[in-house]
Parts: sequence; structure tokens; C-alpha cells
Amino acid sequence: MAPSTARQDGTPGATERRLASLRARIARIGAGRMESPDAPETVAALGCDDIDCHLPGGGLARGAVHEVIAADSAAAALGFALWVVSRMTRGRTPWLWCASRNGSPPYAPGLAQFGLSPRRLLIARTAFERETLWAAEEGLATPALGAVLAEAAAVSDVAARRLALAARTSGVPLILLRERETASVPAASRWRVASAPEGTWEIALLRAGGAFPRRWRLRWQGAAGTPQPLPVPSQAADHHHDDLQADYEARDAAGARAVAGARGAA
Amino acid sequence: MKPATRRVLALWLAPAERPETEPDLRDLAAWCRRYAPWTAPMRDGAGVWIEAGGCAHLLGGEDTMCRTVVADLARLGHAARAGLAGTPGAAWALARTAKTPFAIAAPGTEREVLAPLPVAALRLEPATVEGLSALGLRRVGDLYPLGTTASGRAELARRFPPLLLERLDAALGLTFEPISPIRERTRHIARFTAPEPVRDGEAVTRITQRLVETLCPLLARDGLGARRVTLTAFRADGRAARIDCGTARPLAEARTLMRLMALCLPRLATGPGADAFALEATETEPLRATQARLDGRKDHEDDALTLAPLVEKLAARLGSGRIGRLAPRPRHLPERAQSFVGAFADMPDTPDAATAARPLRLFARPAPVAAAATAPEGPPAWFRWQGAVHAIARAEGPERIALDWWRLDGWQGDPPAVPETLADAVRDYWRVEDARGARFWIFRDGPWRPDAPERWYLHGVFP
Repeated sequence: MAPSTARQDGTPGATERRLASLRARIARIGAGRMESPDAPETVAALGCDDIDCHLPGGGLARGAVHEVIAADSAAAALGFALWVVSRMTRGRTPWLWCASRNGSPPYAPGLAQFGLSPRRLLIARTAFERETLWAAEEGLATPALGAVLAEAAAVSDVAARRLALAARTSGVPLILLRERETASVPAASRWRVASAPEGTWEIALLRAGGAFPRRWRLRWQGAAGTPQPLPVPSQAADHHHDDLQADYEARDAAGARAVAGARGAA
Repeated sequence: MKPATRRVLALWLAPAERPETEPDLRDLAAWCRRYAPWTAPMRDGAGVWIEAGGCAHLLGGEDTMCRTVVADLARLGHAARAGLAGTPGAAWALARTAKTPFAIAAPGTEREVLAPLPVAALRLEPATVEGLSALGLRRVGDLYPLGTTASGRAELARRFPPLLLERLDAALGLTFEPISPIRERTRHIARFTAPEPVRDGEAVTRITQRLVETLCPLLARDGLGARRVTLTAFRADGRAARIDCGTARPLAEARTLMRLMALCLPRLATGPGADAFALEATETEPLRATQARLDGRKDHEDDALTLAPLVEKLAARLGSGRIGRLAPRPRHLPERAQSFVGAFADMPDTPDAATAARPLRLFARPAPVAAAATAPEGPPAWFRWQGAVHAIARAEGPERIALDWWRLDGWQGDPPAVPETLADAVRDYWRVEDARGARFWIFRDGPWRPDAPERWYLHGVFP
């Protein structure tokens, strides 16, 4: 499916985007996957050229875990996660939301205004977090689902690997929404989202494959029914922040230490 | 059913022996279903009813049945007396007054058997018994002359509560007194009795497999599928362990049902072991033919076929009430504008999106917050929630929502309290954004009044 973005050819974004999608195709061929016209898309574009161009493959991989961390108590992170869900499901496939029954439930009238029909949404209300992860894993084993959204704070490494494996096997993406940032989880992409003044979101990409960490300021336009974020020029946008860079480097260093440790043990 | 062929066994427990709580008595009644399919706890908590008609001969006759039941209960530590008669009233009277462990009234002899018993045996209020005794009416037989003539009945009805005549007529079989069973009797039930108590998980699984294989053909024969099955294990200690298993679609295939039961079985607490098992399809629905998709079929029915295995699995582990969808409802009160419905329930078409924005998350209960407005009827300038003070930078509103006050029964109580008058049944909602950009849905409960403190609540969060 062609991305529904109203992009005009000739803009620099379009060129970069095409390049990115070509690179993703080459990467797929390199990985030995068959290319056929009716093969399911393995990458979902977010519909915002600025972000898509930055992501490896021109979007977020389908059969993978994407982690969204909430930086505050409001629902900006949830909004971003739902945006990802709406791009993954394209408003057609059913999707599963797993959350503890103790938390605040999603609100159907709000979802409808956000462009997500409650008809498509299946909700699993669990008693505790391990059950949430179990339900998410069951959902990931169901290829009929377009996406699974799970709210969980503590996710062990083992659980995260199981989830990633289940997602890769079925091609169903998992969006892991975390209220607090605790131990990091091995995920294909990692985002931190905060509310920003004047109805905007501050979105920080912490990691995604080989992409550099980056920060965007987006405005939500929900009037048309389809989520359509617009980049907002701001001081924060298009700028590599020192703390993001530090986060990235710390991760690299930790990875190198782990590799060195493994070699040492061997 | 003609009263003459009806046989009711009343198990009367000595007051000191009665289970303390109603559920325990229900458990005891469920345990008694090993004797007959239709049992119920007595409403006054005194014991258990057993509809024994047609069951006694399976247990070796009425005499043996009564002796077995009393002995089994004694083994459980309940000193019980049994009365067996053609009506619940007569059976109760016999059990209550019997000097022996059990008493039986042969069919059609209720009138003679009851005559010498004290009137209290009719399950009357103490005041009625005293009143009758003051008139010299001490035995049930004393009531017969009055109870059979129109003038006598009118006299009794004038002096005493109507319960007296009701009980008398019912005990004599002139009117039918129903016993409300624990559950409706269903025809789709499979039973298994083990030679000795079973507690090993593998053995329970094998027994369940047998029950499933017995039950499914019964369902399929009637063109029905199970939407809910209940597995009851009658335990050696007199309790009945029960698990309920909901299905996403009508099921009559043994393999699928067994897969589902296997997920539920860990929840079955067999305790010291169970010697009888029953698998019952407690809810059924006509089987839907799983044909190829036809055009014009609703899309969620298509989902039902592809998602059913997932929903079944989730329902089996989480409980069927925990997997479902959110259906919008036409209600003014925001917390009632949606309901949690079954995964494959019919969903009404989404109503037109409300003109005003709605939050993505709505708190199950509005959270009271300390807040202060700078202007009368204005939005708050700040509010404090979870220990943090949020200074409000922008506000949109108010949106006045009048509560569906005519639907307020079942209100959860505070917060917020039930409005006292119609004029109070309004909320003024504001969308507010704090200095850092977090967006909330906040409301003032009731109209603004110069003389009363304002009550503010946080009700949801926006993206």
C-alpha cells in the first residue's frame, strides 16, 4: 500500500524517503527473503516523512517490539502508541490491547475521535503484569491481528526476548507502552514521549536499528479522522541533544562491555 | 407434575451445625447433587432441599436413600435429619420434628402424618405460632376444620398473615410449592463417578476428557454448542469445587473444548480429592455453520472466526469477563458512555463523534483534586494531583454535562456524591493544559455557588 501521506514529489523528503525504502528493499533481498508483489509489507511507514526518512527501512518494522516510554502522567505517550497502532493496522485489521484491570481503561469515545474504531479493538484486562505479558504473547501468535499494545512497567529480559521472537514469527508488531522507564528492554525501536505546550508532543527516538537518536516536536491533527502529525519548527527539533547522545553512547559502551564479557567467559 | 408423584427430601440441620455463610450452604446443596440433579439451599438457611422424585430407586429405595444421605452428612460433620414426603412443607415438618434420623411419609398420607405435629412445623413466624396457641390451636390437625371451610379460612386470613394459609395448603399438596434450584436443570450434562477420591492432576485431566467426549455428542445431537461449561468436582470433604469456562463461540467439538478445559483445569481445587465429577454446558447457543464467508456478512463475524481461538484462550486463563470490547453507549454521564461487552457481542454503530473532544483514558472513578479558580464559574488556575501542583496555562470550556439523573440508581457513591437536587446534577468540564503541556479533563461538580466551596475532579487525560 502506498503511504497515504499527501507528499509531493520533488520535495527533499520524498527523495530521501524513496532512497530509504530502496535501501530497505536491498536489505530485505540481502536477508534472502523473497520479494513478491503480494507479500505482506514488513515495514509500516508512520506517515510523517521527516520521521520515516530517519528510520531504517523507511518506517517501523512489523514483526518486532517497539517500546514507548511515557515521560509524564498525561496521555501523550499513549497517543503516540495509538498512532503507531493505527499505522500498523491501517484501520482495517483488529488489534489487541492488554492492560492491567487496575489501570484506567481506554475510553471508546476518545478512541473514536482519535480515528480508531472501537469495533476493531479487543481488550484483555489482566490481574497483574505477568498475565499482561502472557496475553500479549498469545496475541502475537495470532497473525489475524494487526498489532498488539501492551502496558507493562517491568519486563524481564527473558520475557522481552520471548515477545520479540513471537512477533518475528507471526509478523504482528508489539507496541510496549511503559509508564516509567525502568530497566531497558531489547526492542527494535525505543521512544520517549512527553506532552509539550500548545497541544504538541515531544518525541525522542532513543534507538532504532542503526538510526541516530533524535527528537521531534509534532502537532496532532485529528480532525480528518486519520492521525496526521505535522513537524513544528522549534528549538528542539532537528537537533541532536547532548543527553540523547549520552544515552546512545552509554548503550554502546554497555553493549561493548557485554560482548567483551561474553568473550572473556568463552 | 402431579403432586402425588412428587417426592421431596428436606435435610434439616441442627442450628449449631448450620454453615455460617450462605455460600457454604450453597456448596452443601451442590454437594447433594450426587443424589439427585435438583437441589437447593433452604432460604431460611436451615438446610437443603432435594427433589427426590424418580431418584430414590437409583439409591436403593427411599428408606436406603434417607439413611445414606444422613450417614454421608454425619461423616462430613453435619448432624442432619431427613424428612421425605410429597410436598416440601410436609418433608420439612417431618425432618424438623422427627425423633429418628429420618422420617418418611408414604405418598398421599401427608394429611394424616402432619395432623399430630405442632403448628410450628409449618415454618410459621413465631408470632403466628403464639397467636394460634392462644386460640388453642396447637397441632396442625387443629387447623384442618378451619382450613377447609370458607368461613374458617376467612377467619384465619383476618387474624393471621397470609403465610399461614399458604403454608398449610402447600404442605397438604393443595397448592404447588416450587423449589428454586441452584441452577436451571440442563439436559447437557455428563457425569463420572470415580471408585475412590481422585486428586492427581493427570487423572482429573483424563476424567475431564471422558466427560468432554460424552458431553459434545449430546450438544451436537441438539444442534447446540456450549458457550459456557461448568466442571464440578464433588470433593470428599463435602465441598464442591467448580470451574467455569467461557467460550468465544458455540462449541461442540470435543478436541477444541478439551483444549479449553485443559487451560482451566489448574484452577480446579480438588483439595483432599474428589470422587464424582459433572461437566455441564450451562449456556448453549445454536451451532453456527462454519461456512465460507459470504458477501454481506458483517465484518466482525469474520473476525469471530479468525480470532475465536485467541479469545477462547484468553478467556480461559483470564476469565471470560476480562476479554471483550468497548461499546459506546448513548449516555450523558461520561463514565457510562461506554460499556465492556463480550468479544463477539453485537456492536452498535459508533454514534456520531461528540462535538467536544473526549479523553483517551477515562479514570474509572473521578479523582478528587484540590483546585482553585480565579474567576466565578471559570476554569481552575491550578490543581494538585498525586502530590504535584499543575499550573494551568490554557483552558477550553466549559462543557456542561447534565447527568442522566433518572439513571442514577446503582451509583457507586462518593466520589462524587449523588447530587441532591436536579439543579445539582450538572458538571462543568474543562480541557486544561498545564505549563509543561500535559492535558487533562477536569470538572467542577455541581453549579458554581458563591457560598459553597467548589469540588473539582480529574476525570481523564488527553494525548
